[in-house]
Amino acid sequence: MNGYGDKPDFKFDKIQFDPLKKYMIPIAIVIGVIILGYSSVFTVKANQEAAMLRFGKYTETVGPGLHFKLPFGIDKVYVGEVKRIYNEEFGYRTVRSGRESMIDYNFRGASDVSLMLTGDRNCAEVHWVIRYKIKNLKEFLFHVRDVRGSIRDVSEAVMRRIVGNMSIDEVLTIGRRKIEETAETEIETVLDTYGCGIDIQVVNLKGVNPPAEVKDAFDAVNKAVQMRDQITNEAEGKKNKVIPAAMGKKQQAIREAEGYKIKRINEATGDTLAFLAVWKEYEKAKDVTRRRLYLETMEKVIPKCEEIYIIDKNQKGILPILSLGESKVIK
Amino acid sequence: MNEVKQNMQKTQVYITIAIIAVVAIIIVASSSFYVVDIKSQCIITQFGKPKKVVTEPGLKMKTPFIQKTKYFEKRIIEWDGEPSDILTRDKENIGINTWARWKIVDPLKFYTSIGTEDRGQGVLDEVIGSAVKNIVSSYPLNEVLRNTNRKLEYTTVELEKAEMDKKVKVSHGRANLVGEINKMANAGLRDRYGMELIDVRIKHVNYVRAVIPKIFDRMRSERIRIANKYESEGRREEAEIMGYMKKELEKIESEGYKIATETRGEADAEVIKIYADAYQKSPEFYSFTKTLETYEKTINDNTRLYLSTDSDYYKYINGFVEK
Repeated sequence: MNGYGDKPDFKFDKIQFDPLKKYMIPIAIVIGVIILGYSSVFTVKANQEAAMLRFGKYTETVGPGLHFKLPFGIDKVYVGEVKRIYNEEFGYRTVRSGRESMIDYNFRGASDVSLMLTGDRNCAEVHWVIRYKIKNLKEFLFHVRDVRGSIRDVSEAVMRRIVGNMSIDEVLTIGRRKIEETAETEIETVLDTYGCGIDIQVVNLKGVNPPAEVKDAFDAVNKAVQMRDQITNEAEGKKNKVIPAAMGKKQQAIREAEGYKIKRINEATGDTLAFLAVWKEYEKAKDVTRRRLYLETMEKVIPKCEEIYIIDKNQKGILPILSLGESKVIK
Repeated sequence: MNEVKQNMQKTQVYITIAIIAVVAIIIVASSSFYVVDIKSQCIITQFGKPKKVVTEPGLKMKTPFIQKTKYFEKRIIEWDGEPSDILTRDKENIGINTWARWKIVDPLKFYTSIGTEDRGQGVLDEVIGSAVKNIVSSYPLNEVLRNTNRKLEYTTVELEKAEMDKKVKVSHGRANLVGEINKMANAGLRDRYGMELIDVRIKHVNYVRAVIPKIFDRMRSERIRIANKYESEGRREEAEIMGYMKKELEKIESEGYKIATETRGEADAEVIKIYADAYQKSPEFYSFTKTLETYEKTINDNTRLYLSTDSDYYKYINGFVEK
């Protein structure tokens, strides 16, 4: 007491502070309940699942929706996107994906992953991608410490082992499908023995190339194949043009000869038929016809001659008549 | 006044005692309860001495203050080896990179013999490293590289033959070698350190950097050889086609000539026969008519004709009385 007696100020203070004191506790309780509520409820999104631990011990895995848990770290919730498909890229990386994806094959350390030895001791650069899903969230979270690292290590080991058992030709061209299939099953089998809780969806070879240092030589082979095909095609084309033409010519010659034959035989037959017809009539009046034919001919022939000498049968030697100076020769 | 003061002091003491008690309870409780997570396992030590191994997860109790917890990883742990250069039995210098997965299977032994995970990794460095060196150096490269003895396939027969000629034989293969490495490295690991190798695998088998240019040279020359082969194969095929074409051409042309000439000959022979058959019937008439015909053709304005009066034509020129 300070002895002033009346203390209206003090009273006023009391009136001012009383309501605060009165509501302090309820407000604290409400705030506490809100905090408690918040830490007792959690939501799992549509593409997620959540594994719950109570005091570090696994209790259950819950699907999408609103769920309760004990607060203050008694229940711990681990959420995983089980519907999502995860990508793991080897020997390349997608810088930007979308309509015009940008893929980088030459970043630092890329060839450490991609360059590998084939079964015939050649080198090949293999780029591939693995797509996987979480198939068992509990295993995925609690069995293996570094799941992603395990996926990478296992894929690299498996891929190299497969490539190491194949020829460079198989790796580059004919064996690609087989590599993908074998890798897919082998990687999954190995990861399953660890209990990684993941499901390999697909293994895709993105690009399999000879090392850049020898690429030109590999291209030269392709070019040579094309050249070979071109050369043979051209030769084949020429052959196919020339041979039918020759066949045509051959047929022509044969047909011509056949025509000649028909013509000659017909002519000869005609000639002889004419002869025989004439002969038949000649036989009937041999003497007179003979004379007639002779005379008719002489009639035609004699006028054509330049000179005619008629010599008496008693004349021996015709020399005196001939004028020796003339050059015309008797035919 | 004094009473009030004493009362106030009393409440203050009570409050202090209560606070101290609560704090003490919290301290004691936090020291006697502990949580073992699903991902870890725990050892309870008393004055540094291990007392109990707890591998089951959950909320547990222990004696406060004197017992302490020591946690270890329960999940599978990764180990990544340093790449090392190894000379194989056939003197190929290769770089090998291995990785492993392991687990602490006996936390007590692990704690007493090694203590920490980092030192466990160190043990693996040694154990796996030497196993890899031992095994890899006692096999030829093919056994490390190849897995099975399967026949390698090629796009060209020549390459396939070249590979066959190397007579590569794989009797063990990589999987078996890795198995041996695993066995060798794993031996005693559990008994001595409480560790277990789940898996060991070879990640890389590559030629060392110094050799790679030589490998590239070999690859290049091999390919150039194939390219040349393809080209000469093309030329060969071309020559073959051209040769075949010429042969066919000669054949066709000569066949045409043969048939045509034969046909003509046949025609001529036939014609001879036809004439002969007909004229045979009267050679005398034929020679008569033919001779007359030839007169018509052969005698022309260049001809001087000497005819005797004896001839049939002029026999009448001296008179027509039959002689």
